[in-house]
Amino acid sequence: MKTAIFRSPPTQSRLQKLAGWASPRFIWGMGAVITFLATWETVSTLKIMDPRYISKPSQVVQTGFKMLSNSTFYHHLYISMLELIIGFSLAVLLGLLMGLLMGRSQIIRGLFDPLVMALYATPRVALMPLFVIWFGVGIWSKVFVVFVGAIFPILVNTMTGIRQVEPLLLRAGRSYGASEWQLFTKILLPGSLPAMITGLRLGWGRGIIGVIIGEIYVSSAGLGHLLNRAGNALRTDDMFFLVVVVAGIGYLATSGFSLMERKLTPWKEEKGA
Amino acid sequence: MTKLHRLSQNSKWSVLYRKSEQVILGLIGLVCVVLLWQVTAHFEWINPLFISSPKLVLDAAIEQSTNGIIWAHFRITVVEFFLAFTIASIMGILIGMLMGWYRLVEYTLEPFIWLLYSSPFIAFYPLFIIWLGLGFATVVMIGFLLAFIPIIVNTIAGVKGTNSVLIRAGHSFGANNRQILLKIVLPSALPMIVSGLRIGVERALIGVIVGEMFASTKGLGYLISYYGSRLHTDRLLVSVVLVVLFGLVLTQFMRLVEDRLLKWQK
Repeated sequence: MKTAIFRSPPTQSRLQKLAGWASPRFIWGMGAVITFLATWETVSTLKIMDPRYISKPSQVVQTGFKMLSNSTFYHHLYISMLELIIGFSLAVLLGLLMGLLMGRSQIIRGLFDPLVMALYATPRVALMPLFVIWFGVGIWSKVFVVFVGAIFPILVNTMTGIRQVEPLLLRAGRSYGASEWQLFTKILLPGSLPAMITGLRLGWGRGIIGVIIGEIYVSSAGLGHLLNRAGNALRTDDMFFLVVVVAGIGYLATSGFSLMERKLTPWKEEKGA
Repeated sequence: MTKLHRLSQNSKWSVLYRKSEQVILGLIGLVCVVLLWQVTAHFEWINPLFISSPKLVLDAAIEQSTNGIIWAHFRITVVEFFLAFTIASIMGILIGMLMGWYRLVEYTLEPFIWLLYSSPFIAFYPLFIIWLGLGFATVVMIGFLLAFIPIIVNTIAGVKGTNSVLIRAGHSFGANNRQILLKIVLPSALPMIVSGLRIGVERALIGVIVGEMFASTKGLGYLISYYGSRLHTDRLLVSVVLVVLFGLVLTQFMRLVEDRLLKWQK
């Protein structure tokens, strides 16, 4: 554990915020993206490359609107989110529990450590065919892929977080007569919270990829299913739009977790990347 | 080792146990799982068609390695993996260094890196097939794309994390830019780069396997998907185990390298 550094919360005037928007980082980034989109549009319009293979931004936006105004899209989005949320919730429950146990007890850690590491290193998608055999082509095989993908980062990070809690703090707590429950809620939990949240964020990222790959592999609904259909029919516009949607879901969730981290652990110094 | 001998050196053994407790417990855990699996399959509490059994997997492994099928596909996976990983390392470190060193390059490329990081571009595999053909090149491409982002991101973090005092000191002593890059920035960024490479190894392997599942007719990924669709769980698991072992060997190797390189920092 690093020593906590107390800082007053950053006060930002409206002017400074505005300056943030106009920072060189923002300007150059935006410029690059706009240039890229413009080049893409031109290359496609002038047929320097076959527009069937590379689509073009204006087309993608158009398709996007068309899809968003169609209710089937929301059905598929709902299925994917359902798989993601069920799988992720199960992973959080079991991952936190196992992580706590393995962080606290040396015997439990010893028993499960090699298994966890082996499964953590396994490319989950390699097990996809097996999951389909076990759970069928419906949502449950995907729920399981999400679960398997998300549980290990959560578990491992929780375990590491618990083990990194300063033993001195625990001893101090004990000397002052704290009960096990108090030690847990007042010292262990806050101490390992940042690591846990990192685990959640990693788990969510793997979960999304798992859902999409799982649905591409075999499914009858979901965003991955749409992607696969679009791919097989070479509807490039649809593919680009769907990929942007999935990337957006990932981005939103990542920002959500970062926000959660800042709110829940205000004492922690801001750390890069 | 006789029982008597063991008893007479009881204290020695208990010391040995305490030293290697994690290993012993780990082995017990593994053996228990394998036994449980075998028993479950043997008494058909769960249909062995679905879960196979350790013995069936072993039989399949022997069968497949004697007739050479598994090795032929394994070799292709290994070649694809190393190609994808090597290209990803070279490109990733180069671009990462540029982005970490020149601020404008960073600002310009940053949005694209983040987009690639969070988008499931595996979905584009039909396009890759059109561009690069079914098989080798497409698989390498997918492995490369997956591996190269974390390598870039870590290299940037490593380069930017270089202590600016050291760079200033270098300048004062008249070091030119090349010397500063090679003697100061690179060594100090190395640990971050290597941990990026470790993540890259894992992701390149995933990419290659997924690529083979979707866009190839060769390699372990293809075998997995092939046997999966034919309900040959035992043969499927042979390939899975091989992939896992390959991955473990690689990541352990990277860990060793990482520890070596981190030594001088302590």
